[in-house]
Amino acid sequence: MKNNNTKKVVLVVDDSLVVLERMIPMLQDSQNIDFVIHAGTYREALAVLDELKPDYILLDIQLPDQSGLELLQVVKEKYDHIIVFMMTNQATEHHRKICRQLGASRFFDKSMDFERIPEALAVAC
Amino acid sequence: MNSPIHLDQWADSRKQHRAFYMATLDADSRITFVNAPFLHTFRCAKVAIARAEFTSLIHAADQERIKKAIGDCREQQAAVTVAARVKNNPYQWVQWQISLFPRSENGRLLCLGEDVFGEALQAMPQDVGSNGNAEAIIRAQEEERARLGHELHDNVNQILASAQLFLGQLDPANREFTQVKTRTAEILTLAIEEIRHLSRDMVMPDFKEMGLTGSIRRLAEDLQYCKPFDIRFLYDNQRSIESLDEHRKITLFRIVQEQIKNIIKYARAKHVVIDLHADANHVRLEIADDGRGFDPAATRRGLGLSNIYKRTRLYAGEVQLETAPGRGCTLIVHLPRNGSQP
Repeated sequence: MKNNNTKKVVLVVDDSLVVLERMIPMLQDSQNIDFVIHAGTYREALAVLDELKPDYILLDIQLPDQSGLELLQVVKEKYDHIIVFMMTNQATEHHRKICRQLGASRFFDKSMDFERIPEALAVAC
Repeated sequence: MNSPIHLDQWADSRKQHRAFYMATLDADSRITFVNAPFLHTFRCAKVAIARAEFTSLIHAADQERIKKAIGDCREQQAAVTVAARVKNNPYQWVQWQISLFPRSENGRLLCLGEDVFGEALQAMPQDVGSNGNAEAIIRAQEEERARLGHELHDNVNQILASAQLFLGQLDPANREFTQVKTRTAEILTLAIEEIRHLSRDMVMPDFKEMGLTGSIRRLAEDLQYCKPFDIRFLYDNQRSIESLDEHRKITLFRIVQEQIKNIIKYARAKHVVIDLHADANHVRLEIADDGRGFDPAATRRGLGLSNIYKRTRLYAGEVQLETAPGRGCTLIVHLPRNGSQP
């Protein structure tokens, strides 16, 4: 599937129903986002990555099957051009540092900064 | 949960390891959001999914129905339920619930879908651990189709080809006319029988009506009728067996069918015993025959046996095969009764 130059494809990787419910409408209201895909697990996300090439990934650290940090590492090794925003409820300085080292562009505390995620994405797009 | 969009089914589906498809459509019914299971299933449509028209992913014969459902949903401002097949996969039916996206003022629709038919999808847990869920399901479907193709080609097709040859010889002036006509009719009857067997294999018995024990007993009775071998079905603790979940019952029934087919095809057995036992934690199925047996190390595992192993593994179960040339064959399957999917 090819990505449009102006409109962007976003992959949301998170197994939380609440996040999904809030995130979909917010992303879809964004002018610059053309298409959103959702993956609830590490494995689903990997399969999606192989098939579609998203421009952005919103990635939770805590996934049911494997850590989001491992996925971040894989993405940055295989698809360095993809911009990854991490989102987590464990927003410790330690996690922030690791995510930065692994190549994440932004780091959001889901409980504090949630509303800012689509906004930040819109700016980046 | 008072959810703004009705995704509670999605959460349930995850717990129950079922495939659950999600897509949102814009005002022109083009796709703007999908979930990963949707991508896996609909990639066989060979259509670029982003911004594709939703109907372009649907089987041609069902597209009008989907278009009408979308129209009805928009017009009546109410949720509509409709079943449709996946494009390029006429065996896979998905039941869609199409509704207006909550608080959306721009005609956006939410489509939530669930598999309707397809034993592979219903009997096998969607998330099968390290095996890779969608791949395991697709592989199982492909194998089932291949088996069906072989059966049709090797049996029904050959029989019908013979009938065609006989018809070519039909000549009222020929003194063997009546004989050839009778033989042609016999061959066509055989073809009808083959198709009947094949379709009976494909349709699952109604466990609600007969239970698993009743279904296996019926299978054994059918075999007695054509007498390929003497067959006995033993079981105990029927209540415990019938309280197994539907998926395990289907799996056990399919394993019995597969092994019986193997015995008919290869074993030349005189006696077969099926023994089924369930307790609070496990279920044990044993199928023993006194046929010619085989050397498992020297024999390639055929499709039937390989299906038995795969079905059992999906429930973290175990298969034991005790056989040797000239010493019959005993197949023992242990399944954990609850949860613990691999």
